[in-house]
Amino acid sequence: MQLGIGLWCLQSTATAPRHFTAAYRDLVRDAQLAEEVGLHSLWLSEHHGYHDGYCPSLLPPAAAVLQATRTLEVGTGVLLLPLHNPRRVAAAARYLGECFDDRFHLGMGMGYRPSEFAAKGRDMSDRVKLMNSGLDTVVEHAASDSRENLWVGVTSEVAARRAGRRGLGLFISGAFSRSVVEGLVTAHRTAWEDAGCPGGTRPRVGLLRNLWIADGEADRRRALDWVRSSYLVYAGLGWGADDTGVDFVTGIEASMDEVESSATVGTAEEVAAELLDYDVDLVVCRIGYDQPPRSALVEVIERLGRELAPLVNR
Amino acid sequence: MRLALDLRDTGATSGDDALLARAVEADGLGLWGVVIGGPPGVECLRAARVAQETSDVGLIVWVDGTAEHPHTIAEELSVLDHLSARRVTAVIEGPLAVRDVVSELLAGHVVDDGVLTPPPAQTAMTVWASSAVAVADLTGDLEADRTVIDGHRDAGTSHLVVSWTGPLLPLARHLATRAVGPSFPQLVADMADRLP
Repeated sequence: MQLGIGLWCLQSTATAPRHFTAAYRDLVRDAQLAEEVGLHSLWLSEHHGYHDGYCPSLLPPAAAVLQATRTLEVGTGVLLLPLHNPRRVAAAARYLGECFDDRFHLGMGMGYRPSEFAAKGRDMSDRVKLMNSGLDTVVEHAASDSRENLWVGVTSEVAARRAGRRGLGLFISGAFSRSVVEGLVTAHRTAWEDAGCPGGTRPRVGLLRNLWIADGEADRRRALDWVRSSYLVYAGLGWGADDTGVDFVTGIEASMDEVESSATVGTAEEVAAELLDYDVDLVVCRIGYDQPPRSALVEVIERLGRELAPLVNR
Repeated sequence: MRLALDLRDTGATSGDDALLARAVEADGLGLWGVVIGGPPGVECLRAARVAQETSDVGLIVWVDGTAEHPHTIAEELSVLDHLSARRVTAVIEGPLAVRDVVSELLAGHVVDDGVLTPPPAQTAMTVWASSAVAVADLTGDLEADRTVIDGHRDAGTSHLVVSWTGPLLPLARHLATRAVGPSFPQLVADMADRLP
Protein backbone atom coordinates (compact mmCIF):
# COMPACT_ATOMS: atom_id res chain seq x y z
CA MET A 1 0.00 0.00 0.00
CA GLN A 2 1.36 3.41 -1.00
CA LEU A 3 0.87 6.48 1.18
CA GLY A 4 0.17 9.97 -0.11
CA ILE A 5 -1.03 13.23 1.42
CA GLY A 6 -3.81 15.63 0.46
CA LEU A 7 -5.72 17.64 -0.22
CA TRP A 8 -3.86 20.86 -0.88
CA CYS A 9 -6.62 23.40 -1.69
CA LEU A 10 -4.50 26.57 -1.31
CA GLN A 11 -7.23 28.57 0.38
CA SER A 12 -7.20 31.59 2.63
CA THR A 13 -10.14 30.84 4.90
CA ALA A 14 -12.03 32.83 7.50
CA THR A 15 -10.67 30.48 10.16
CA ALA A 16 -7.04 30.78 9.02
CA PRO A 17 -6.44 33.80 6.75
CA ARG A 18 -3.14 33.98 4.85
CA HIS A 19 -1.71 35.48 1.66
CA PHE A 20 -2.45 33.33 -1.38
CA THR A 21 1.16 33.61 -2.49
CA ALA A 22 2.22 32.11 0.85
CA ALA A 23 -0.15 29.19 0.24
CA TYR A 24 1.55 28.38 -3.06
CA ARG A 25 5.01 28.83 -1.55
CA ASP A 26 4.11 26.47 1.32
CA LEU A 27 2.78 23.92 -1.17
CA VAL A 28 6.23 23.53 -2.70
CA ARG A 29 7.89 23.32 0.73
CA ASP A 30 5.37 20.73 1.93
CA ALA A 31 5.96 18.66 -1.19
CA GLN A 32 9.73 18.74 -0.70
CA LEU A 33 9.28 17.63 2.90
CA ALA A 34 6.94 14.83 1.84
CA GLU A 35 9.56 13.65 -0.62
CA GLU A 36 12.31 13.83 1.98
CA VAL A 37 10.41 11.60 4.41
CA GLY A 38 9.56 9.04 1.74
CA LEU A 39 5.89 9.63 1.04
CA HIS A 40 4.53 8.47 -2.31
CA SER A 41 2.48 11.44 -3.47
CA LEU A 42 0.78 14.78 -2.85
CA TRP A 43 -2.72 15.52 -4.15
CA LEU A 44 -4.38 18.83 -5.05
CA SER A 45 -8.04 19.77 -5.11
CA GLU A 46 -10.08 22.11 -7.31
CA HIS A 47 -13.08 24.43 -6.99
CA HIS A 48 -14.00 27.64 -8.74
CA GLY A 49 -15.13 31.10 -7.77
CA TYR A 50 -15.11 30.76 -4.02
CA HIS A 51 -14.40 33.58 -1.63
CA ASP A 52 -11.47 31.72 -0.07
CA GLY A 53 -9.56 31.31 -3.33
CA TYR A 54 -9.92 27.52 -3.36
CA CYS A 55 -7.48 26.52 -6.08
CA PRO A 56 -9.25 26.69 -9.46
CA SER A 57 -6.32 25.56 -11.60
CA LEU A 58 -4.41 22.48 -10.52
CA LEU A 59 -2.03 21.87 -13.38
CA PRO A 60 0.33 24.87 -12.96
CA PRO A 61 0.92 24.09 -9.26
CA ALA A 62 1.36 20.42 -10.15
CA ALA A 63 4.03 21.43 -12.67
CA ALA A 64 5.77 23.61 -10.07
CA VAL A 65 5.81 20.82 -7.49
CA LEU A 66 7.09 18.27 -9.99
CA GLN A 67 9.84 20.69 -10.99
CA ALA A 68 10.81 21.18 -7.34
CA THR A 69 11.00 17.45 -6.53
CA ARG A 70 12.70 14.37 -7.94
CA THR A 71 10.73 11.32 -6.77
CA LEU A 72 7.46 12.54 -5.27
CA GLU A 73 4.39 11.85 -7.38
CA VAL A 74 1.73 14.55 -7.76
CA GLY A 75 -1.96 14.09 -8.42
CA THR A 76 -5.17 16.00 -8.93
CA GLY A 77 -7.74 14.82 -6.46
CA VAL A 78 -9.72 15.78 -8.46
CA LEU A 79 -9.80 17.99 -11.54
CA LEU A 80 -13.42 18.75 -12.47
CA LEU A 81 -13.34 17.52 -16.04
CA PRO A 82 -16.72 18.80 -17.34
CA LEU A 83 -15.53 22.34 -16.58
CA HIS A 84 -12.49 22.02 -18.86
CA ASN A 85 -11.67 21.32 -22.51
CA PRO A 86 -10.68 17.64 -22.27
CA ARG A 87 -8.30 17.83 -25.25
CA ARG A 88 -6.42 20.60 -23.50
CA VAL A 89 -6.35 18.65 -20.22
CA ALA A 90 -5.08 15.59 -22.07
CA ALA A 91 -2.28 17.60 -23.68
CA ALA A 92 -1.26 18.92 -20.27
CA ALA A 93 -1.30 15.46 -18.69
CA ARG A 94 0.77 14.04 -21.52
CA TYR A 95 3.29 16.86 -21.17
CA LEU A 96 3.69 16.35 -17.42
CA GLY A 97 3.90 12.59 -17.79
CA GLU A 98 6.61 12.83 -20.43
CA CYS A 99 8.66 15.50 -18.67
CA PHE A 100 8.54 13.89 -15.23
CA ASP A 101 8.80 10.15 -15.84
CA ASP A 102 5.13 9.45 -15.17
CA ARG A 103 5.16 11.11 -11.75
CA PHE A 104 1.94 12.96 -12.58
CA HIS A 105 -1.49 11.46 -11.85
CA LEU A 106 -4.62 12.91 -13.41
CA GLY A 107 -7.61 12.35 -11.13
CA MET A 108 -10.89 13.51 -12.66
CA GLY A 109 -14.28 14.21 -11.11
CA MET A 110 -17.63 15.45 -12.33
CA GLY A 111 -18.34 18.52 -10.19
CA TYR A 112 -21.61 19.27 -8.49
CA ARG A 113 -21.85 23.01 -7.80
CA PRO A 114 -24.15 24.97 -10.12
CA SER A 115 -22.19 28.22 -9.83
CA GLU A 116 -19.08 26.55 -11.22
CA PHE A 117 -20.87 25.32 -14.32
CA ALA A 118 -22.51 28.73 -14.79
CA ALA A 119 -19.16 30.53 -14.61
CA LYS A 120 -17.84 28.32 -17.41
CA GLY A 121 -20.91 28.75 -19.57
CA ARG A 122 -21.96 25.12 -19.13
CA ASP A 123 -25.26 23.57 -18.13
CA MET A 124 -24.90 21.35 -15.08
CA SER A 125 -27.57 19.01 -16.42
CA ASP A 126 -25.03 18.06 -19.11
CA ARG A 127 -22.39 17.00 -16.60
CA VAL A 128 -22.75 13.22 -17.00
CA LYS A 129 -22.55 13.51 -20.77
CA LEU A 130 -19.58 15.88 -20.50
CA MET A 131 -17.85 13.57 -18.02
CA ASN A 132 -18.26 10.46 -20.15
CA SER A 133 -17.16 12.10 -23.38
CA GLY A 134 -14.35 13.88 -21.54
CA LEU A 135 -13.00 10.66 -20.07
CA ASP A 136 -13.00 9.04 -23.49
CA THR A 137 -11.10 12.00 -24.93
CA VAL A 138 -8.54 11.96 -22.14
CA VAL A 139 -8.00 8.20 -22.44
CA GLU A 140 -7.45 8.60 -26.17
CA HIS A 141 -5.09 11.57 -26.00
CA ALA A 142 -3.42 11.70 -22.59
CA ALA A 143 -1.64 8.43 -22.13
CA SER A 144 0.72 7.02 -24.71
CA ASP A 145 0.49 3.37 -23.74
CA SER A 146 -0.79 3.25 -20.19
CA ARG A 147 -3.87 4.29 -18.24
CA GLU A 148 -2.10 3.69 -14.96
CA ASN A 149 -1.97 7.33 -13.90
CA LEU A 150 -5.56 8.20 -14.81
CA TRP A 151 -8.09 8.12 -11.99
CA VAL A 152 -11.78 8.87 -11.55
CA GLY A 153 -12.98 10.41 -8.30
CA VAL A 154 -16.15 8.71 -7.11
CA THR A 155 -18.82 8.89 -4.48
CA SER A 156 -21.23 6.34 -6.01
CA GLU A 157 -21.19 2.86 -7.53
CA VAL A 158 -22.38 4.30 -10.86
CA ALA A 159 -19.24 6.41 -10.97
CA ALA A 160 -17.09 3.46 -9.86
CA ARG A 161 -18.41 1.43 -12.79
CA ARG A 162 -17.69 4.39 -15.11
CA ALA A 163 -14.04 4.20 -14.07
CA GLY A 164 -13.84 0.40 -14.11
CA ARG A 165 -15.19 -0.17 -17.59
CA ARG A 166 -12.59 2.27 -18.98
CA GLY A 167 -9.73 0.66 -17.08
CA LEU A 168 -9.16 3.79 -14.99
CA GLY A 169 -8.14 3.99 -11.35
CA LEU A 170 -10.68 4.59 -8.62
CA PHE A 171 -10.17 7.59 -6.31
CA ILE A 172 -12.62 7.21 -3.44
CA SER A 173 -13.72 10.34 -1.63
CA GLY A 174 -13.16 10.65 2.12
CA ALA A 175 -15.58 10.12 4.99
CA PHE A 176 -17.11 6.85 3.78
CA SER A 177 -17.72 3.83 6.01
CA ARG A 178 -15.84 0.61 5.34
CA SER A 179 -18.91 -1.07 3.82
CA VAL A 180 -19.44 1.78 1.36
CA VAL A 181 -15.76 1.65 0.35
CA GLU A 182 -15.98 -2.11 -0.19
CA GLY A 183 -19.09 -1.66 -2.34
CA LEU A 184 -17.33 0.90 -4.53
CA VAL A 185 -14.26 -1.30 -4.95
CA THR A 186 -16.38 -4.31 -5.91
CA ALA A 187 -18.41 -2.29 -8.43
CA HIS A 188 -15.18 -0.95 -9.96
CA ARG A 189 -13.51 -4.33 -10.32
CA THR A 190 -16.61 -6.07 -11.63
CA ALA A 191 -17.13 -3.38 -14.27
CA TRP A 192 -13.49 -3.69 -15.34
CA GLU A 193 -13.74 -7.45 -15.73
CA ASP A 194 -17.13 -7.27 -17.48
CA ALA A 195 -15.64 -4.78 -19.98
CA GLY A 196 -12.89 -7.25 -20.94
CA CYS A 197 -10.17 -5.86 -18.70
CA PRO A 198 -9.35 -2.68 -20.71
CA GLY A 199 -5.73 -1.62 -20.37
CA GLY A 200 -4.69 -5.14 -19.42
CA THR A 201 -3.65 -4.36 -15.86
CA ARG A 202 -6.22 -4.16 -13.09
CA PRO A 203 -6.63 -0.44 -12.35
CA ARG A 204 -5.58 0.78 -8.96
CA VAL A 205 -7.80 1.91 -6.11
CA GLY A 206 -7.00 4.99 -4.05
CA LEU A 207 -8.74 5.94 -0.84
CA LEU A 208 -8.87 9.46 0.56
CA ARG A 209 -9.06 9.31 4.34
CA ASN A 210 -9.38 11.99 7.02
CA LEU A 211 -6.39 10.97 9.08
CA TRP A 212 -3.93 12.18 11.73
CA ILE A 213 -1.21 10.64 13.87
CA ALA A 214 -1.86 11.34 17.56
CA ASP A 215 -0.37 9.70 20.64
CA GLY A 216 -2.45 10.71 23.65
CA GLU A 217 -6.09 11.54 24.22
CA ALA A 218 -5.49 15.30 24.16
CA ASP A 219 -3.69 15.06 20.81
CA ARG A 220 -6.42 12.84 19.50
CA ARG A 221 -9.18 15.28 20.53
CA ARG A 222 -7.28 18.18 18.98
CA ALA A 223 -6.91 16.31 15.68
CA LEU A 224 -10.58 15.38 15.60
CA ASP A 225 -11.50 19.03 16.13
CA TRP A 226 -9.37 19.89 13.09
CA VAL A 227 -11.22 17.27 11.06
CA ARG A 228 -14.55 18.72 12.22
CA SER A 229 -13.42 22.21 11.31
CA SER A 230 -12.61 21.07 7.79
CA TYR A 231 -16.25 20.26 7.30
CA LEU A 232 -17.19 23.74 8.50
CA VAL A 233 -14.95 25.25 5.83
CA TYR A 234 -16.46 22.93 3.23
CA ALA A 235 -20.01 23.77 4.27
CA GLY A 236 -19.10 27.44 4.09
CA LEU A 237 -18.60 27.05 0.37
CA GLY A 238 -22.19 25.87 0.16
CA TRP A 239 -23.47 28.74 2.29
CA GLY A 240 -21.50 31.25 0.31
CA ALA A 241 -22.23 30.56 -3.30
CA ASP A 242 -24.57 27.78 -4.23
CA ASP A 243 -28.03 26.47 -4.08
CA THR A 244 -27.02 22.83 -3.99
CA GLY A 245 -30.20 21.66 -2.31
CA VAL A 246 -28.25 20.65 0.77
CA ASP A 247 -29.34 22.17 4.07
CA PHE A 248 -25.87 22.81 5.45
CA VAL A 249 -27.12 24.91 8.38
CA THR A 250 -29.51 22.43 9.94
CA GLY A 251 -27.29 19.46 9.30
CA ILE A 252 -23.94 20.94 10.30
CA GLU A 253 -23.49 19.23 13.68
CA ALA A 254 -24.71 15.86 12.40
CA SER A 255 -22.43 16.13 9.36
CA MET A 256 -19.45 17.05 11.50
CA ASP A 257 -20.19 14.09 13.79
CA GLU A 258 -20.29 11.84 10.72
CA VAL A 259 -16.97 13.16 9.42
CA GLU A 260 -15.43 12.71 12.86
CA SER A 261 -16.68 9.14 13.23
CA SER A 262 -15.16 8.11 9.89
CA ALA A 263 -11.79 9.73 10.60
CA THR A 264 -8.73 7.61 11.29
CA VAL A 265 -6.86 9.15 14.21
CA GLY A 266 -4.41 7.36 16.50
CA THR A 267 -0.85 6.17 16.89
CA ALA A 268 0.99 5.08 13.76
CA GLU A 269 0.43 1.45 14.74
CA GLU A 270 -3.31 1.98 15.28
CA VAL A 271 -3.71 3.85 12.00
CA ALA A 272 -1.71 1.23 10.10
CA ALA A 273 -3.84 -1.58 11.48
CA GLU A 274 -7.00 0.16 10.28
CA LEU A 275 -5.64 1.04 6.83
CA LEU A 276 -4.33 -2.44 6.14
CA ASP A 277 -7.88 -3.75 6.47
CA TYR A 278 -8.80 -1.91 3.26
CA ASP A 279 -8.22 -3.65 -0.06
CA VAL A 280 -6.75 -0.57 -1.75
CA ASP A 281 -3.43 0.29 -3.42
CA LEU A 282 -3.06 3.89 -2.26
CA VAL A 283 -4.24 5.83 0.76
CA VAL A 284 -4.21 9.60 0.51
CA CYS A 285 -4.05 10.92 4.06
CA ARG A 286 -6.24 13.98 4.21
CA ILE A 287 -4.28 16.36 6.40
CA GLY A 288 -4.66 19.60 4.44
CA TYR A 289 -6.93 21.26 6.99
CA ASP A 290 -6.74 24.98 7.60
CA GLN A 291 -6.85 24.88 11.40
CA PRO A 292 -3.59 23.15 12.40
CA PRO A 293 -0.59 25.48 12.81
CA ARG A 294 2.21 24.90 10.30
CA SER A 295 4.32 23.25 12.98
CA ALA A 296 1.62 20.58 13.44
CA LEU A 297 1.30 20.05 9.69
CA VAL A 298 5.05 19.66 9.29
CA GLU A 299 5.15 17.24 12.21
CA VAL A 300 2.39 15.04 10.84
CA ILE A 301 3.97 14.92 7.36
CA GLU A 302 7.22 13.76 8.98
CA ARG A 303 5.44 11.15 11.08
CA LEU A 304 3.39 9.84 8.16
CA GLY A 305 6.55 9.31 6.16
CA ARG A 306 8.86 8.03 8.87
CA GLU A 307 6.42 6.08 11.08
CA LEU A 308 3.29 5.15 9.14
CA ALA A 309 4.60 4.56 5.62
CA PRO A 310 7.00 1.76 6.65
CA LEU A 311 4.14 0.02 8.46
CA VAL A 312 1.79 -0.02 5.44
CA ASN A 313 4.25 -0.43 2.56
CA ARG A 314 4.04 -4.07 1.58
CA MET B 1 12.01 50.03 -23.95
CA ARG B 2 12.43 46.60 -22.38
CA LEU B 3 13.43 43.39 -24.09
CA ALA B 4 11.92 39.95 -23.62
CA LEU B 5 13.67 36.87 -24.94
CA ASP B 6 11.42 34.73 -27.13
CA LEU B 7 11.57 31.13 -25.89
CA ARG B 8 8.33 29.93 -27.44
CA ASP B 9 10.13 27.57 -29.78
CA THR B 10 12.85 26.53 -27.35
CA GLY B 11 13.08 23.14 -25.74
CA ALA B 12 10.27 21.25 -27.38
CA THR B 13 12.32 18.10 -26.91
CA SER B 14 14.30 16.61 -24.00
CA GLY B 15 11.72 17.51 -21.40
CA ASP B 16 12.15 21.23 -21.92
CA ASP B 17 15.69 21.20 -20.52
CA ALA B 18 16.81 23.75 -23.12
CA LEU B 19 13.95 26.08 -22.23
CA LEU B 20 14.80 25.93 -18.56
CA ALA B 21 18.51 26.45 -19.12
CA ARG B 22 17.87 29.45 -21.35
CA ALA B 23 15.46 31.01 -18.85
CA VAL B 24 17.93 30.54 -16.01
CA GLU B 25 20.63 32.22 -18.08
CA ALA B 26 18.29 35.14 -18.84
CA ASP B 27 17.41 35.43 -15.16
CA GLY B 28 21.06 35.59 -14.17
CA LEU B 29 21.83 38.29 -16.73
CA GLY B 30 18.92 40.47 -15.68
CA LEU B 31 16.85 40.37 -18.83
CA TRP B 32 13.41 41.86 -18.25
CA GLY B 33 11.45 38.86 -19.44
CA VAL B 34 11.24 35.55 -21.24
CA VAL B 35 8.34 34.65 -23.52
CA ILE B 36 6.90 31.20 -22.98
CA GLY B 37 4.32 29.44 -25.13
CA GLY B 38 3.46 25.92 -26.11
CA PRO B 39 0.59 23.75 -27.27
CA PRO B 40 -2.83 24.73 -25.85
CA GLY B 41 -2.95 23.78 -22.19
CA VAL B 42 0.80 23.50 -21.79
CA GLU B 43 1.75 27.21 -21.82
CA CYS B 44 1.22 27.87 -18.11
CA LEU B 45 2.79 24.54 -17.12
CA ARG B 46 6.03 25.43 -18.88
CA ALA B 47 5.88 28.86 -17.25
CA ALA B 48 5.33 27.29 -13.81
CA ARG B 49 8.47 25.20 -14.30
CA VAL B 50 10.46 28.28 -15.34
CA ALA B 51 9.10 30.17 -12.33
CA GLN B 52 10.38 27.43 -10.07
CA GLU B 53 13.90 27.67 -11.52
CA THR B 54 14.21 31.47 -11.64
CA SER B 55 13.72 34.33 -9.23
CA ASP B 56 13.42 37.68 -11.01
CA VAL B 57 12.88 37.40 -14.75
CA GLY B 58 9.41 38.32 -15.99
CA LEU B 59 7.26 35.53 -17.40
CA ILE B 60 5.45 36.62 -20.54
CA VAL B 61 3.03 33.77 -21.14
CA TRP B 62 1.68 33.46 -24.67
CA VAL B 63 -1.65 31.64 -24.40
CA ASP B 64 -4.02 30.31 -27.04
CA GLY B 65 -7.28 32.10 -26.22
CA THR B 66 -9.43 29.92 -28.43
CA ALA B 67 -8.89 26.54 -26.76
CA GLU B 68 -10.52 27.19 -23.39
CA HIS B 69 -13.11 29.34 -21.63
CA PRO B 70 -11.69 32.82 -20.81
CA HIS B 71 -12.48 32.32 -17.13
CA THR B 72 -10.32 29.19 -17.07
CA ILE B 73 -7.46 31.01 -18.79
CA ALA B 74 -7.70 33.82 -16.23
CA GLU B 75 -7.64 31.27 -13.40
CA GLU B 76 -4.48 29.64 -14.75
CA LEU B 77 -2.72 32.97 -15.11
CA SER B 78 -3.73 34.10 -11.63
CA VAL B 79 -2.48 30.90 -10.00
CA LEU B 80 0.73 31.22 -11.99
CA ASP B 81 1.13 34.78 -10.71
CA HIS B 82 1.14 33.44 -7.14
CA LEU B 83 3.51 30.62 -8.00
CA SER B 84 5.93 33.12 -9.52
CA ALA B 85 5.44 35.91 -6.95
CA ARG B 86 4.01 38.59 -9.26
CA ARG B 87 6.04 37.99 -12.40
CA VAL B 88 3.38 37.20 -15.02
CA THR B 89 2.40 39.19 -18.09
CA ALA B 90 -0.11 37.55 -20.41
CA VAL B 91 -0.37 37.57 -24.18
CA ILE B 92 -3.63 36.23 -25.58
CA GLU B 93 -3.65 34.78 -29.08
CA GLY B 94 -7.15 34.91 -30.53
CA PRO B 95 -10.17 37.20 -30.60
CA LEU B 96 -9.80 40.55 -28.87
CA ALA B 97 -13.01 39.82 -26.95
CA VAL B 98 -11.25 36.95 -25.18
CA ARG B 99 -8.35 39.19 -24.23
CA ASP B 100 -10.80 41.74 -22.88
CA VAL B 101 -12.59 39.20 -20.67
CA VAL B 102 -9.35 37.74 -19.34
CA SER B 103 -8.05 41.23 -18.63
CA GLU B 104 -11.24 42.30 -16.86
CA LEU B 105 -11.23 39.23 -14.63
CA LEU B 106 -7.57 39.67 -13.75
CA ALA B 107 -8.26 43.30 -12.87
CA GLY B 108 -10.82 42.18 -10.30
CA HIS B 109 -13.99 43.04 -12.18
CA VAL B 110 -17.12 40.90 -12.29
CA VAL B 111 -17.76 39.41 -15.73
CA ASP B 112 -21.03 37.59 -16.49
CA ASP B 113 -21.70 37.38 -12.75
CA GLY B 114 -18.38 35.57 -12.28
CA VAL B 115 -15.45 36.78 -10.20
CA LEU B 116 -11.90 35.47 -10.34
CA THR B 117 -10.59 33.83 -7.17
CA PRO B 118 -7.89 33.89 -6.13
CA PRO B 119 -7.15 37.28 -7.65
CA PRO B 120 -3.62 37.65 -9.03
CA ALA B 121 -0.85 38.75 -6.71
CA GLN B 122 -0.26 41.85 -8.83
CA THR B 123 -2.58 44.83 -8.56
CA ALA B 124 -3.75 44.04 -12.06
CA MET B 125 -1.97 41.79 -14.53
CA THR B 126 -0.97 43.24 -17.88
CA VAL B 127 -2.75 41.35 -20.67
CA TRP B 128 -1.77 42.05 -24.25
CA ALA B 129 -3.41 40.96 -27.45
CA SER B 130 -0.88 39.05 -29.53
CA SER B 131 -1.46 41.44 -32.42
CA ALA B 132 -0.22 44.31 -30.27
CA VAL B 133 3.11 42.74 -29.36
CA ALA B 134 6.20 44.00 -31.18
CA VAL B 135 8.51 41.19 -32.27
CA ALA B 136 11.98 41.36 -33.84
CA ASP B 137 14.36 38.69 -35.10
CA LEU B 138 17.87 39.62 -34.04
CA THR B 139 20.78 38.15 -35.95
CA GLY B 140 23.73 38.25 -33.58
CA ASP B 141 25.38 40.85 -35.82
CA LEU B 142 25.52 43.53 -33.13
CA GLU B 143 25.86 46.43 -35.51
CA ALA B 144 22.78 45.42 -37.45
CA ASP B 145 20.89 44.53 -34.29
CA ARG B 146 21.61 47.97 -32.79
CA THR B 147 19.82 49.51 -35.72
CA VAL B 148 16.77 47.31 -35.08
CA ILE B 149 16.75 48.14 -31.38
CA ASP B 150 17.22 51.86 -31.95
CA GLY B 151 14.43 51.87 -34.51
CA HIS B 152 11.90 50.29 -32.18
CA ARG B 153 12.99 52.37 -29.19
CA ASP B 154 12.84 55.66 -31.07
CA ALA B 155 9.45 54.75 -32.54
CA GLY B 156 8.06 54.47 -29.01
CA THR B 157 7.85 50.69 -28.59
CA SER B 158 7.66 50.00 -24.85
CA HIS B 159 8.39 46.24 -24.87
CA LEU B 160 10.03 44.24 -27.62
CA VAL B 161 10.06 40.44 -27.96
CA VAL B 162 13.35 39.36 -29.52
CA SER B 163 14.66 36.07 -30.82
CA TRP B 164 18.33 35.33 -30.12
CA THR B 165 20.58 32.33 -30.59
CA GLY B 166 23.92 31.77 -28.87
CA PRO B 167 25.07 33.03 -25.47
CA LEU B 168 22.91 35.71 -23.93
CA LEU B 169 25.64 37.96 -22.55
CA PRO B 170 25.98 40.05 -25.75
CA LEU B 171 22.22 40.55 -25.82
CA ALA B 172 22.18 41.64 -22.18
CA ARG B 173 25.29 43.81 -22.40
CA HIS B 174 24.87 45.51 -25.75
CA LEU B 175 21.18 45.48 -26.62
CA ALA B 176 19.00 45.23 -23.49
CA THR B 177 20.95 48.12 -22.00
CA ARG B 178 20.82 50.11 -25.23
CA ALA B 179 17.08 49.61 -25.45
CA VAL B 180 16.42 51.53 -22.23
CA GLY B 181 17.09 55.00 -23.66
CA PRO B 182 18.90 56.94 -26.41
CA SER B 183 21.94 57.95 -24.34
CA PHE B 184 23.55 54.51 -24.00
CA PRO B 185 27.38 54.80 -23.81
CA GLN B 186 28.32 52.09 -26.31
CA LEU B 187 31.99 52.52 -25.41
CA VAL B 188 31.37 50.99 -21.97
CA ALA B 189 29.83 47.85 -23.45
CA ASP B 190 32.64 47.54 -25.97
CA MET B 191 35.30 47.91 -23.26
CA ALA B 192 33.49 45.49 -20.97
CA ASP B 193 33.92 42.85 -23.66
CA ARG B 194 37.67 43.24 -23.29
CA LEU B 195 37.77 42.94 -19.51
CA PRO B 196 39.09 39.64 -18.16
